[in-house]
Amino acid sequence: MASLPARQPSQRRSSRPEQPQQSSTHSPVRSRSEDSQTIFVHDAPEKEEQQQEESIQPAARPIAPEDDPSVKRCWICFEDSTEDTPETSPWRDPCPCALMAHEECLLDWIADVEAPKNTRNRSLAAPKIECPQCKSEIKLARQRDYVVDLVRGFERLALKAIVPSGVFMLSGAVYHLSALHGIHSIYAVFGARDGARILRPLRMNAIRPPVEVYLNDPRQASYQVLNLLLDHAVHWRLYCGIPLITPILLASRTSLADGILPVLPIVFFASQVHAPDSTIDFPTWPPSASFAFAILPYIRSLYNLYYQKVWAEKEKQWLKEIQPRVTQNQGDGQNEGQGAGVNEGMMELQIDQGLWDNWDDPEQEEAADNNAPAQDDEAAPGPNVQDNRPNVRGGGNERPQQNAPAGGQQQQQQNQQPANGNQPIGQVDRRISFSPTGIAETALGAIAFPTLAGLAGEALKLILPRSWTTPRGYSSRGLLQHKWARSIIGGCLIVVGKDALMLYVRWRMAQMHRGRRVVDFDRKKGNSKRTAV
Amino acid sequence: MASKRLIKELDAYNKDPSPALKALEPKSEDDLFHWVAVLRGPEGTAYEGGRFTLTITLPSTYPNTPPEIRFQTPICHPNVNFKTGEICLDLLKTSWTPAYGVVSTLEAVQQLLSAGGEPDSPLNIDLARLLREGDLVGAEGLVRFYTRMLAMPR
Repeated sequence: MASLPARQPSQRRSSRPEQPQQSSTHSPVRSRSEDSQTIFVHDAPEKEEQQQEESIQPAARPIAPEDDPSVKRCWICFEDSTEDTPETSPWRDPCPCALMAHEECLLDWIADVEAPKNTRNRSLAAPKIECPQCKSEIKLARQRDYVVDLVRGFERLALKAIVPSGVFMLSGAVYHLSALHGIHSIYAVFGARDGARILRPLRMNAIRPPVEVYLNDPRQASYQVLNLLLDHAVHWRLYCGIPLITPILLASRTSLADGILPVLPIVFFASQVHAPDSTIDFPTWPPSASFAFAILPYIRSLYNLYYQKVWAEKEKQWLKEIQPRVTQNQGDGQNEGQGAGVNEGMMELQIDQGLWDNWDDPEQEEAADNNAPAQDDEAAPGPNVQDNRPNVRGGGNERPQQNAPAGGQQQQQQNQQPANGNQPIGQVDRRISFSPTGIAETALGAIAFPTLAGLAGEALKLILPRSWTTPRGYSSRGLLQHKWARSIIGGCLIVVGKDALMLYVRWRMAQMHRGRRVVDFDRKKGNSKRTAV
Repeated sequence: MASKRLIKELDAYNKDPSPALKALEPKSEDDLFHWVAVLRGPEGTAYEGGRFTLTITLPSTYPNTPPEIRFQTPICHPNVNFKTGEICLDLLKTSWTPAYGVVSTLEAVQQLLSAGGEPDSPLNIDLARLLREGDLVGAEGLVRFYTRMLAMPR
């Protein structure tokens, strides 16, 4: 709000321009009203207090009462003492400056300033009544009741507290929501038994009666509080970690997480000493659950890097191919990099895919490196499918003579591009889509991910041979015997499979796009059909 | 109290017109609570030569509550809404006291025009943005253009 230096009417009035009054400016309305202070030129002689002015200006000139120091003028109703009637309230001079007012006017004004609904007083303390001119406080002799003061103060406080307490409640709701989803995720990934073991302290705490229940038994109350604090101190990682699961899942779908995620394992390792249920065991196989989860962020980064280097460029190429030719500068093969329009369309699609590939693909690699041939089978086809297909497709196409060269050319370009154009593409991919549907899709995908991963783990259990998935003494290949490990690998497989599928679809769409043609109308057939009908 | 004081203010203005105003009168003879004013664009600014019509609505609790003043002539100013004419001035809201009157408030509005306004609490975002980014020439040009187009008699 713009504010200007205070400028009071009294200042203006004191520096009146010396110009003869024009009676023509008076409108009939004002001359009619009896109680007005209008003084016309011809009325002037009636006034007694005009000696000095008269001498300066021979022309008969009205003298406003405010010019005369002996006449008091109320700064609120603008009436002066010449108009006083027996009913007018007494004059008050509450402050050192020259402003005076009727008592009633002052009291009205003060009542308005102090009114609780008055939005002008925003401060917590009771509004200060001060003279608008000299800013000195106007004192009121009035009864005080501390109960009234207290309640009024409390009312003002409550008014202030609405927004903060609303924010507090809302964030509390978000906290509990994400904690609930975190618990759900834990169960989805670890299964009923392990999940219950992990969450045991939390579960005990959730149905603990609030402290105020023990008010009549202070010892019990203090014991409960102490217990609560102790519990939080011991299991702080659980209490911090559970509500953080959902935000981190969401963040992992964006480039934000690139910065955060690698930090978390460090925190994890640093605090490992307190972990009651697991120990660090780098050399042992299978790794402990905590270790496996701690390295997930690194695997994620690795996988993303791999995808960027190897597949992003090809995917971009394929996407560009199915754009309408308007946005393409030239024919099939040679259109990379030009045309901003292409890039825009691209962005959305790439981001769209970015939602999915960010997460666990990384883990797939780990899986592929480390163990089970089953995963190698699953993982390898993704990339290979696309590399192998073009030849097959070329043969099957309607116009092989055109397509084969184009395809070959394209492959070459794809191979060259990663070297040149990697940087910009990385940046393009990093940008987060801000379309509402895109955001919703990302969020939902992230939130549903633990459940999907758990389900995939269960599916693995069904598919894989029983000997791998059922505990059998201290077998060294026992990774998949744990529910959590199956969940991790299932999640990785989902991500990798999704990426592979999307890549295949993109590539296939590009292929089919090239082979399109418009079918001529078969007149003979059409005619015969028509006659038949 | 309100109507008495309004009559006094009107008389005081008619006796001693403010240089900031070209006209100030009630809309109709029997309604003292709706006034119309014509404000002169301050000289030496981009508003110079403009004649801005303002509507003044006086609450029945006047002078304890401030008058409601709006520009009727569209004006290009960072603290005035171009469409509704709403003015963002503390005097019209929080820092009002009965010691002000209609005329002195209108003079404050004129001062707001000559002071250039406060682009950090804008009602005209486009102009405020120009000012904030330091494009004073552009802002002045825009103001001059709108003043000439909308607020000058032809």
